[in-house]
Amino acid sequence: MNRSGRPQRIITHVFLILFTAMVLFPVAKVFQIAFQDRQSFDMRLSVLPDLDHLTLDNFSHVVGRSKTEGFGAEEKQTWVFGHQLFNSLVVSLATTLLGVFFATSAAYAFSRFRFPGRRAGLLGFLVIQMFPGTMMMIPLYILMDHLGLLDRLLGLILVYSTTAIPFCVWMLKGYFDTIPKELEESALIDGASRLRIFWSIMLPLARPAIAVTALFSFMTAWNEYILAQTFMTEEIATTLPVMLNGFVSKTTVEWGHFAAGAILVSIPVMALFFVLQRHLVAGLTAGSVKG
Amino acid sequence: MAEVTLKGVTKRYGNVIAVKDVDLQIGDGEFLVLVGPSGCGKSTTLRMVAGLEEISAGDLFIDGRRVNDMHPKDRDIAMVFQSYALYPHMSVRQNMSFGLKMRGIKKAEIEKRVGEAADILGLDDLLARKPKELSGGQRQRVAMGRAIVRKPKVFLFDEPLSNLDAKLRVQMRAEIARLHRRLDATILYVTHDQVEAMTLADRIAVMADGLSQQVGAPLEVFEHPVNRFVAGFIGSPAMNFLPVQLDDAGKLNGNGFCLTLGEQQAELVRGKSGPMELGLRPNHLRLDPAGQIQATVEVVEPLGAETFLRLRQADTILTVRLSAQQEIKAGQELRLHLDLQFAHLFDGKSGQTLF
Amino acid sequence: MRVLLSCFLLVLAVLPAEAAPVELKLWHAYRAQERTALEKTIALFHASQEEIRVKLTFISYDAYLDKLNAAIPLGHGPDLFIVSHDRIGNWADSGMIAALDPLLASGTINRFFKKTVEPLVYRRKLYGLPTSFKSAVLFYNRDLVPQAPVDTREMIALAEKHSGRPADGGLPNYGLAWEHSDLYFHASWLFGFGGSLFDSAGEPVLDSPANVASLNFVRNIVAERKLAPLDVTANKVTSLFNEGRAAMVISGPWFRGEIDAQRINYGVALLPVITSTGRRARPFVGTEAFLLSARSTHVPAAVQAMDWLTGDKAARVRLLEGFQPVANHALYDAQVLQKRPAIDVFRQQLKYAVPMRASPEMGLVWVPIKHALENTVRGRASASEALAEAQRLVRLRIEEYRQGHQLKDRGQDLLPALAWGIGGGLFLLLLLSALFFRRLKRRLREVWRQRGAYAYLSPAVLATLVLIFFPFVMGLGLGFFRYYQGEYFFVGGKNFVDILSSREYSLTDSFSFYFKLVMTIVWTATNVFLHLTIGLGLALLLKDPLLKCKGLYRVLLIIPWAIPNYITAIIWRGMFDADSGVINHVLGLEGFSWWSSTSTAFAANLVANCWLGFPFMMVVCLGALQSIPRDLYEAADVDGASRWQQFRQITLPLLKPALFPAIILGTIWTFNMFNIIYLVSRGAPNGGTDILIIEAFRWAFERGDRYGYAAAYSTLIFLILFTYTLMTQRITKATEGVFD
Repeated sequence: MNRSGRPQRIITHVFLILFTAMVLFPVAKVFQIAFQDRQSFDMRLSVLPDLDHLTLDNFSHVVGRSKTEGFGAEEKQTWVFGHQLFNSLVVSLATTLLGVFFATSAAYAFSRFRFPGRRAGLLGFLVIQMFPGTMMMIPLYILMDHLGLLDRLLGLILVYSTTAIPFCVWMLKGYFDTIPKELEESALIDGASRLRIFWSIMLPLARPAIAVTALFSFMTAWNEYILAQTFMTEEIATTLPVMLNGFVSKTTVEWGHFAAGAILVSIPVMALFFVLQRHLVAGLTAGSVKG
Repeated sequence: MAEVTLKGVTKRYGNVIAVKDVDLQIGDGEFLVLVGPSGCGKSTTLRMVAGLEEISAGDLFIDGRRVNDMHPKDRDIAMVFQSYALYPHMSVRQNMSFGLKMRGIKKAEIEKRVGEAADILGLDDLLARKPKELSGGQRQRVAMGRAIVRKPKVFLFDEPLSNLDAKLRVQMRAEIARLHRRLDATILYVTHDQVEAMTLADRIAVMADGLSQQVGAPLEVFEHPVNRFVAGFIGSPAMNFLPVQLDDAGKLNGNGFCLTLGEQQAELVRGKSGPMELGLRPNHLRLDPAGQIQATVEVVEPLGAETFLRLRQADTILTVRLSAQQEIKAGQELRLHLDLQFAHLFDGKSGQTLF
Repeated sequence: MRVLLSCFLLVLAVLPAEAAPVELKLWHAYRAQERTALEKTIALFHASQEEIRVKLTFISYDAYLDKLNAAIPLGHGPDLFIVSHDRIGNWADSGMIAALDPLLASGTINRFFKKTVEPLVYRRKLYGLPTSFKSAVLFYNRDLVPQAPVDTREMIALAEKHSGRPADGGLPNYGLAWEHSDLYFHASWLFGFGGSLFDSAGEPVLDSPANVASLNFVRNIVAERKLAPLDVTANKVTSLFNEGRAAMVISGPWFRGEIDAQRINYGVALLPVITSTGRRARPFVGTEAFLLSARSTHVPAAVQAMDWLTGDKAARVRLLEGFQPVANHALYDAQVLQKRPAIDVFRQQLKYAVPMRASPEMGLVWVPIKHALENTVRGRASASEALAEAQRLVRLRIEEYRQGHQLKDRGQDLLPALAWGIGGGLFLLLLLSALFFRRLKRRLREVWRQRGAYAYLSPAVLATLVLIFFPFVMGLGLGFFRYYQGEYFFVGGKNFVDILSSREYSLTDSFSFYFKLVMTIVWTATNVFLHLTIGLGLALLLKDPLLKCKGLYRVLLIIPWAIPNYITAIIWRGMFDADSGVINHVLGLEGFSWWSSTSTAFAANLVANCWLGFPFMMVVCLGALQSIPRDLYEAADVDGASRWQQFRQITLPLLKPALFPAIILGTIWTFNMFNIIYLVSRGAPNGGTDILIIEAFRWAFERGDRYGYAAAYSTLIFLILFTYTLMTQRITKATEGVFD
């Protein structure tokens, strides 16, 4: 469809620019609030920061958050933000690794084997997302307690990587389906084992989909706060979104801090989206389209 | 090198029988082509030999060993796929060495073998490229190279030329033939193209509906088809079939014509009667004003060296091959002479060849 | 000799304690100055003695109560925790907290104001030591209101003077601002009008004429005179006051910490006398207190610590540095009051305050009254109608709650719940097997042959079974139980019957299951449709191969997806604010409240969720469009098809297989989208925009801990979605591609 001429394309650009501006407006607002020295949320149309109130205090407050413990000689400073950042990174990266491992192996089985229970299994992975998460909290808490995983990052990692499984399996399976079976058969005749085929043929070929899986697993872990604040007790054991949520209380929202925190929390995910966006399109849909 | 033997090999998918009771014997160094229309079970048979499909019943022997339950990698076979199945993320060199690496062959040896194969196939300059940077013919060659380096007991080809254009196909056909001579390998080759089958094979096996119809040398199958199906499938252009009725007097009554059989042929059908089909290859029909049947020209296909005519006689379309150019126009009425001594007669019901 | 012996014994008894100090866990949700003050008192306590060390843990307010509920019964909770008193009744009933009467030295409580101790008493037992009390007072901007009003007539007159839009057309000003729909604040008027919540027998009397009068009073101020903002949250009250746009504010002591004292010269005064009754407005007084976990293993140390930490020395720190109206009366001396004059107003207000009850029954009143207030103020019902409905609901729920007693006599607990859950799960599994493994026997051999597949599956399946399936099955099982005072009792299908027969509401009520179901379906359908339309539209635009900056647009348009949705929700809530929200500003609708009618509140939710949801569909559509071969369009061009015909005949049919899985996933996600509705419209008005999942949540956490009921709700949600998936599969074979 190369027929659209120049004027039409200009209209397209105008529309897209306007639409993008609209979409980005709330984001720009967050930036405006974050760089101003008031903790309020006044909503004017302008997204430019008020120069008189320009400040980085919100960021330094958020990043510099630390707490003093003990008294006198026992006094020690703990850099809360640092701990939470570290936890977030550890949890998210481990979740990504584990999530990709769970999802790729399961998706491979669903895509390549015709085993009894396959349909039920696929349906099961879809269905299991349907039960409201809030109702699973209490049982999950009890379970975590029995497994001795409360207050441990490992617990969060396991739960997050598991919650990411269903979507990732669906997506990856679709992608695996597009990889010609002959490649595997060829490798089979060439003398490669199943595991070898999985590792040296399927995984490299499914890179776009795996990248997307990794992104989703990462996002699941990076953005979650409800489970994190339920399973972890100490402030320094929690993750960044919990900190963010701490700026919102029943009676007040520390808007400046919240906005600065929101930016800090969102930036890594946005960066990942940016890096992986090419894969995103391929990875997300190749499966359902069947190349 | 090795022999491959199939004894009563059968493949069932649930209630569907894809391959039924196939017996085949491929001798050491023999080039056997499995030919048949799509869906006839030839690919399934090949995949059973490869070990990619399980054998539902019957036995498969390679080199005298029963390999029904043997893993593909242990059967010492190599396969060239219709889609080539080149690993897109590996270079040509990596593609060719993959199988050897899997078998734990030493680096130097791999280098040597890949070099040799590249030499044979003229791939030397392409070794560093990725499959997507190659043309169709080149990919095909890489796929063969990947098989050659393995030095397997048996080569399996699954319609390897069907993704190429006509010219390349002829070229690659010659190349495969050359390769076979050079390697002296046992080859099982699947195609739906009877020309490929005729030109390449030591022997061909014609399959239809999951059954092996006839196995034999190409010319033998061409000249002595066992049934109407084989007769129609092998040969290009295809054999003409005229519905006829055999009466007790040994006469063939067609739609608007009546033929008398020669003595020898009449002997062969003595005691038989009923609907039959008379088969004649296009070169056994001649234009002859005194011919036995009359037909209307529908299409004239001048090919330069020869001309094909498509004629309508009653409800059947007949193809006639003329060795020289003649002034014939569509719509013309012509009389044809049927060379009965080259004709075949097939039973109307079973399709069995009567002569 | 005897003296010597007892000395010796005493030494023996004391020695081990000295050797290893007891470590006490203390949880709190204080922030800012209050937190600093608390930390300082702990430090002082440590300095005062050696035996006890207090480990202080901050938990964010959101998670605080849930976490206490979850952790204490499992023995992971704190020894002590600071919390407002209102859940004491439930906790005492479920055995989470310990009564203090036998543990305290006599006279300990004499150091507190009596009214601050009362809320801590439940069934004649004391359950906590108060740190501070909280009641509403009047804050006023001295620059606008030099003298605080004495009575409501004066207050209204003052408010009228300072209300309205300024001449330059800027943001509107309000004479008064308070969270008018929150019973905590409304109580001041309600009791001031001589109303009450419970009669002397402890039965609710919400629809009394005095109560109706108090609601009408609020409606008059907010809706008719427009002296106070209609859309109001605690946040908004704060920012209005800090921007000088609210002359007077009714709020609690915490408000002091939020005032920008550099900009606003403020005063604190007693709530005014209600002109028509001649009585002073009587706020609720609630208490914040140290409670002792029943699971504490260091009871004596914990009691010692709370005694010290509520003592005068610690209280002084909290008063002076945390600006808390502490409960110790001894501290209100001239010297202190000179430093913190505002605090004294709270002490005076205490005289007129009504102690809040800590009973579970009281806990059931909040939400219905809130809805009654909102419906009255927003003109959706008259005050008497609204209160009659609230009375009916509270009655029903109290009755429901009390039925728990009968169950308790039967004595069943969580164990059978587990059994039922597992049994139910197995049943479900069997059902699934029956559906899918019809020829099980023949398949078993196949299972063995395909064992490789199961090996690949096992990590994911194992993890899912343990961490998702198990809690899921337990959740299903809970639907057959009723939670009462910390235990679960089997009630069979009662929850389901109650929900499906809409026992508590008429079918068309905005709280009935069927209303919610319709709402949820409408919500899901409109969202998925809009996400898809917007996503597809953008994808079609971005598909043009000659369009410049495609990549840039794509990256920018994906951003909403990358932002956590709770951030999105909070921002959109701000943008839809009636008078400071940018949306009303752009549309010229200043002052228009989006939360007064179901349709506008729904629209606001929809906008926020579309913002969040279109990028996913856009990306899916982009990928799917790329897969449609170019030559099809060329062929259609040759065939003379118009653009629209090409779209209808080629693009849409070929997109379908790619879009169906995305639509199914989108449907499931939207059906269970919690954050947006919960944080943007917050269910307003009158729960009208709440969808099923939020309703389930509210039953569990906002309406008297009806976990079983909530679980039954969740089960129904699950069944609906399950049926939907099966149907789409059967009818459209949509997921064919996915299942192949």
